[in-house]
Amino acid sequence: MAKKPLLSRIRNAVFLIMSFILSLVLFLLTFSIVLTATVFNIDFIFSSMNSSNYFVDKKDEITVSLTDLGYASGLDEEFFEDFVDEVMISNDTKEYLDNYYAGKGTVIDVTQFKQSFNQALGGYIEENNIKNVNGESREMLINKAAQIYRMSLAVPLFSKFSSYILSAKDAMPFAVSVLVLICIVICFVLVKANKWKHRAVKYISCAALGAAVSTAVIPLYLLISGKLTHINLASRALYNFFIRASSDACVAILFCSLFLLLAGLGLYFLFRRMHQKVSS
Amino acid sequence: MSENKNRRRHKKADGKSFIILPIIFFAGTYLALYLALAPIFSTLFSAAGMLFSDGEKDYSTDYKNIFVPVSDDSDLSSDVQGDKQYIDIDKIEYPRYGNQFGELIIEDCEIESKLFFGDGDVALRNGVGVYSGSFIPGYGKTILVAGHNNTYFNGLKYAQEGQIVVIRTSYGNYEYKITDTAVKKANDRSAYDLNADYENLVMYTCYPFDELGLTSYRFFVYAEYVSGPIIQKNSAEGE
Repeated sequence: MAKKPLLSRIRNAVFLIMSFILSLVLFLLTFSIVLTATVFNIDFIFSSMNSSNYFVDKKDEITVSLTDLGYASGLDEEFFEDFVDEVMISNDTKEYLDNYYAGKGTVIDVTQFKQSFNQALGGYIEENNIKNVNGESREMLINKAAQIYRMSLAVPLFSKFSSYILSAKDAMPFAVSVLVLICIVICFVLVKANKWKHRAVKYISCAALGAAVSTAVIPLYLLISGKLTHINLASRALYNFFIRASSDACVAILFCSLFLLLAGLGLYFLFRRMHQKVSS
Repeated sequence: MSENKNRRRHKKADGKSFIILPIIFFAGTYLALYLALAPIFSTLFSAAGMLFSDGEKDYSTDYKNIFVPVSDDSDLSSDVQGDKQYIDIDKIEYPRYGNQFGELIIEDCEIESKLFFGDGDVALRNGVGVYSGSFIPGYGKTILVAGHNNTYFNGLKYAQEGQIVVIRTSYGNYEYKITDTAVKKANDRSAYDLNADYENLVMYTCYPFDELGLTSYRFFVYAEYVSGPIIQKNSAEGE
């Protein structure tokens, strides 16, 4: 068998490297798109909260915490029974997330909560004819209740990683555009630079198949190993939400992986057809 | 003939490359990722270690009860020297955080409550709790017990010098005599001494009693050890 000329070998190596870069870019593109559609998408976050019963669980958690506060401050359990409701929590959470993603900080406004609590407390004192009330103690109770409410709504680590998350979110559309552009350029060069077009198809197909395998590994590992369920979160509501949102994100990545796999296989069959034509 | 052979070999090689190349690309992608993230790898791993545990988190609000009452005349002690009874630390089940491991009774104050190790929400919802940074009865150190003033420790308002506090555990029953009461600021660290090398019981709750609201004052009740088996610690622990 005759040896391939050196130039041809170099060309092949260059095309292989380009194919690898295409695979890497497709991998990054998949994750960028899924991140944009999930973690950086307030609608996704909110719908995951709804589907994981976040607001109902949160209501229960806040009520239990406030009832414990009642034990320490002389308020009956009944006082807190319907004090917080899902609508109130949902509205405040929505405002919190809107402000967060708009870059306005992670402050949760509890003015409304404090007003409602103070009003309810006044009614309770009047109804039970309680005389032993000290202004300072009452103020401390209201502030503590508001603090419990605020801390319950806050998403842990959100404020800590705020700058990273927001920078990543802002950079994501640009990153996606650049990655798409790189993909187009690589495909264009591969098609144009190969005299035999079926070879270009082969390189693109291998890149797509490589990206399909690469993207599938992480979500498959997370879903099969059940690692996600081992997350340490103090709140059950937040835990359920996290599991739901992260599982959905993993499934979204798997769908992208499937798409890449089908595209790769489609290109493989196209390659075979083109190759047969050339051979005959 | 040989041209056909060549073509078949070529076809075979092409077919293989559709399997081998994607695998190489997959390995290359993760190698590239590893090289890119290498400087922050240890940080990422330690952060993940903090975020994830070995098992699933238990969100149940139930608590484990390891308390099995023992009668006053039952003999669990491994050694008796004079009036004092001793029990080996290996013979007792040391409570974990959140376990109910006994009960606390002050008849004169109408207090009869479950005793937990740890003073978290679940413990104080169901009884009174020993601060986990202090010690269990019999250990020869300070036992710091907290409770809510509107529930289980409401009766502490009747506490007076000379009254007897009984703590029942699975490894023995203890008696302490109230020596003093005091109202102090919640952040007053001089209110108790966790480094004391003698057995003493400190109970506290919010003050004033029966007032609506939160307060920064605490009502402390101090009691001295009267009787109960002394836990014999292993020498390795440094008695």
